[in-house]
Amino acid sequence: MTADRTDGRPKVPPALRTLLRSASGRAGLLGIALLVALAVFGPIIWQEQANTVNTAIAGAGPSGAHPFGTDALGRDLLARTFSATRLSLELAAVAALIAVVGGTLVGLVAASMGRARQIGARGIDAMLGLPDILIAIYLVTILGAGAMLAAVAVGISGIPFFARVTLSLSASITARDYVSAAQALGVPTRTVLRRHVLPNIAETLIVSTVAGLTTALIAVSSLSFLGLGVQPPSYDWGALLTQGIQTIYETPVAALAPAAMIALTGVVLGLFSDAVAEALNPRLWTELKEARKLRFGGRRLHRIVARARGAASPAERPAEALVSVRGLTVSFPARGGGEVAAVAGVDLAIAAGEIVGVVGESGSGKSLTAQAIGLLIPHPGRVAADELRFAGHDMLDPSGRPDRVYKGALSYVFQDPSASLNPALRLERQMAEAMPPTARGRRRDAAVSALREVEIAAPERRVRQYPHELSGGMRQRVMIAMGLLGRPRLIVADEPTTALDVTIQAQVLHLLAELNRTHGTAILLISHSLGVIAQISHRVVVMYAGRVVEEGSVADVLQAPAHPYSRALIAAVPTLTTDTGAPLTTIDGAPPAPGEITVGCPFAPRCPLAIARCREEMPPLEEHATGHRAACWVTAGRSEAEAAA
Amino acid sequence: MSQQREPPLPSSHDRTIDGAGWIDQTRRNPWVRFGVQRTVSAVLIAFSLVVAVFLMVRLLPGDPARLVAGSHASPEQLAAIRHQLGLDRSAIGQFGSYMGDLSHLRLGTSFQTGETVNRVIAERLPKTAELAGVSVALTLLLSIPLGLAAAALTRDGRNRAFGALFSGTTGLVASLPVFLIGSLLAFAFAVELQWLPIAGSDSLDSIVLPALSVSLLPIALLARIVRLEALSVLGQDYVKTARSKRLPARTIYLRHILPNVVAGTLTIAGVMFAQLIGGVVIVENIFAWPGLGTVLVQAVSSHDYPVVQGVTLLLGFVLVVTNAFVDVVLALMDPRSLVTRT
Repeated sequence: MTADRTDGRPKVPPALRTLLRSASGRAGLLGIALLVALAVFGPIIWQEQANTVNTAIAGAGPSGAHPFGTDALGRDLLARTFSATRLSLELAAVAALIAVVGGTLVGLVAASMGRARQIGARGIDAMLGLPDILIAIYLVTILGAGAMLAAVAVGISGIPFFARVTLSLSASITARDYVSAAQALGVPTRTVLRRHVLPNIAETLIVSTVAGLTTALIAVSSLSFLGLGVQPPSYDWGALLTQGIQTIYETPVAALAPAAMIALTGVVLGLFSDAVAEALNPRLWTELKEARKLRFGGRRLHRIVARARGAASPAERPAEALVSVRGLTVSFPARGGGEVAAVAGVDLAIAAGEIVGVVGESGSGKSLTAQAIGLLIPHPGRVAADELRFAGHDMLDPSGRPDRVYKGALSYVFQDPSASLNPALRLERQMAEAMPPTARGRRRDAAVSALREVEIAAPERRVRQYPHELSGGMRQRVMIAMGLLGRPRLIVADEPTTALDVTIQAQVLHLLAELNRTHGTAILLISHSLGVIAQISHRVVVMYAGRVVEEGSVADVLQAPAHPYSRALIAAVPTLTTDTGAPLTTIDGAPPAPGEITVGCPFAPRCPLAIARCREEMPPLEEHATGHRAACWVTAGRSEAEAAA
Repeated sequence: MSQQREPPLPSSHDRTIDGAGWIDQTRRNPWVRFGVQRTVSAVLIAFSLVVAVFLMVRLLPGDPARLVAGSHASPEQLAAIRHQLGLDRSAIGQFGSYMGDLSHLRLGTSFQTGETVNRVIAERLPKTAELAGVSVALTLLLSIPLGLAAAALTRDGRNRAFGALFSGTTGLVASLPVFLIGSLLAFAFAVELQWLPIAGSDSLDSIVLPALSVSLLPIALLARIVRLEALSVLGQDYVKTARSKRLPARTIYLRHILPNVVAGTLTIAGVMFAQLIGGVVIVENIFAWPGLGTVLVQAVSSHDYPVVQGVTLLLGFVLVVTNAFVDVVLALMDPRSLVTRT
């Protein structure tokens, strides 16, 4: 039911590998390695030079021996800057550590206070409302001035920020279903926090720790600027910078070396935290995985020239064809150059008023096909086709303003109704956008009657509400109602029922069938469930590995499936007569793996009927019976019984 | 966060029974509840602030009077200072008289100048407000468009090089200490080019350098956050829905993306306003801007506790009020925050 969903606890990605794949990740890691090396060896190598007083060259400008000049006592500023690396990073690390550890603890304690959590949150907000430099000044005034005391003060002043981050994150995680489930089972809050919350917020905390280091570095040097940080004879970059700034009008270069080090450290940490965030972002991660899954063919696609557009004579094309697609390809750039096709040469026709169901496993290219029809493939995907026509318009020709043709005429209903409506806008606002521009009052009337049409009670009040005030089933009805407002000729319903429970599923399917009957709206219904497709479709298209492997009327395909894959799909659907004692039927094997090069029929490795030819040559989609086509060497022109024999 | 989850509607519920009734019954006007909550918490925060400022002088190691008057002060002088700080009474008595003075807005008298703290604040506050206001305006007007534009240019992994340049530049600026930015600007535009005055607030263009010094860092930080936030909003399904409605790009960005980005950024923006005020305090000292920041730092180094206390309290109150305001704006922009924010 929810095979496509990636909710729930994200699998921990091999983050380091992802990190090393990005240029900024590599640069950040390298920079951090250099900084650590400088902190360890800097004082050993340069300390002596840094402390050598030579009043003869006091306050000198840059020279060969002293590229950044000398300070008031004639000490070399570059050597001092390098040997200050250790203390500067130490102080920043101490402050960041206090802030992160203290903040996480405070945040977790506040999160575990149950109903009293509000109080904890308010307290943390109170601290956050004050500039941390003021809190640090306050603390230093009490604690006294000095390097470590300044670091401690800066660390303490950073605690509220990390406590807030922890609290907000744990709040969003405890709201997730699997955590609620654990709580409902009586798992104590403390265990929930340790087992579910902490691992999930760890990523964000790592990222903000890196950012926190930068903040700490700056805060400590700001205290030095106000005379409350590192006290002589010790020196960190902040103290060196402050001395340099005091003489900035005479020897501006004196401030340069420590300033550059602070800035460089900031850049390195910034690059690193960005790369870490990207490496750990679960959404990006699943997209990467998807992108790799798409590389099933591994073949570089030749640029498909949209040749011979509209070459098919009108006689060949049924006069009532609403959508006519030939040779549709959706390709993505492959790693290492070239392109791989996720949809490889799909032909599809939808007649006006027809319900066409597309079925296939995830990764079969069915959703991409639907998006490609609407020209909604996201960057860097590329759509090419021999023909892509909608209501007689050539949609591949930009001069025909495809967006204008599609506006209103083509509407989409997506899988997850809780995510497809904008949480910040009232329903009427979002619904109005789907309508041609008219008076505001009329738009609301239209929205209300559309909601009524999808059987939502009290529509006058509902249109004034926000999506979060509706249940999942209602939101999906709103999506459908919104789609109706432009008087569409085609509704693309992409897994419209997958995120809903079974009874609501039936209602939504019933609603779609009803709209098809009353308005004559064509529907392209996409699902991985043959049961869903069979309920309301007129025609079925079976997709596998980016290709159409079979298409025909629901009766033909369900009762006399021609392609071995369709047969396996049908056999896998349990019916009332299925032996409940036996294990459920499954299809052995998996679709072509990422990067796998397939020659011939992509289903051959899993196919019980495969012959030698299947592994060598791709079978074309051929007519097996009137209006029933399949792509199979073995079953072509033979009945199921014959083929099995 | 259990309130955030949906009511467990029976399957027939959303078709036949009006679900709005359920919400109204359990959550009688969330706006009223929200208002009461925020008011109560703002009062509590303000009170904690008052206590913290009261404790400041009491937590000092050693004798505050000695710190103020120096080691050569006579016992009479020390006693007078202790009396003015209220240190010659019992702890409860001290707090009582401190609260009494506060309730009459009597903030005491400066040790250094003999002026009342009220007078010092009245003189200096407008200047600080001016600098902070211009800086906030600069920050908002520049960072949000910059961040959005950068997100639009780098969406779905477009223009990777520009993305790296953007995070590099904003990272660089955001990692520069405010006092370094200020000093460099002063050096470049006041000392070398002599385009702008280096100190004071005597002419209209005096504010340019201080305001830039204060706002460059928040601009860079906020632009960065806005970009990341916008990139994540761009990946949301409701943006896919908006695109499928064939809305013009302008509408998608301004109506569908911007409010969600701002709502996602605003919590941070409250904290950033606090940091901006911290920046104002530092920058005022670089450019001799006659505001509260210069007074505060002078007072800290000269142990002029009545002034430190008064200025800290005032800045704290301003920030408490601002944060409450941010909460209200956030609630207006993202109604979910009424029920989901802890």
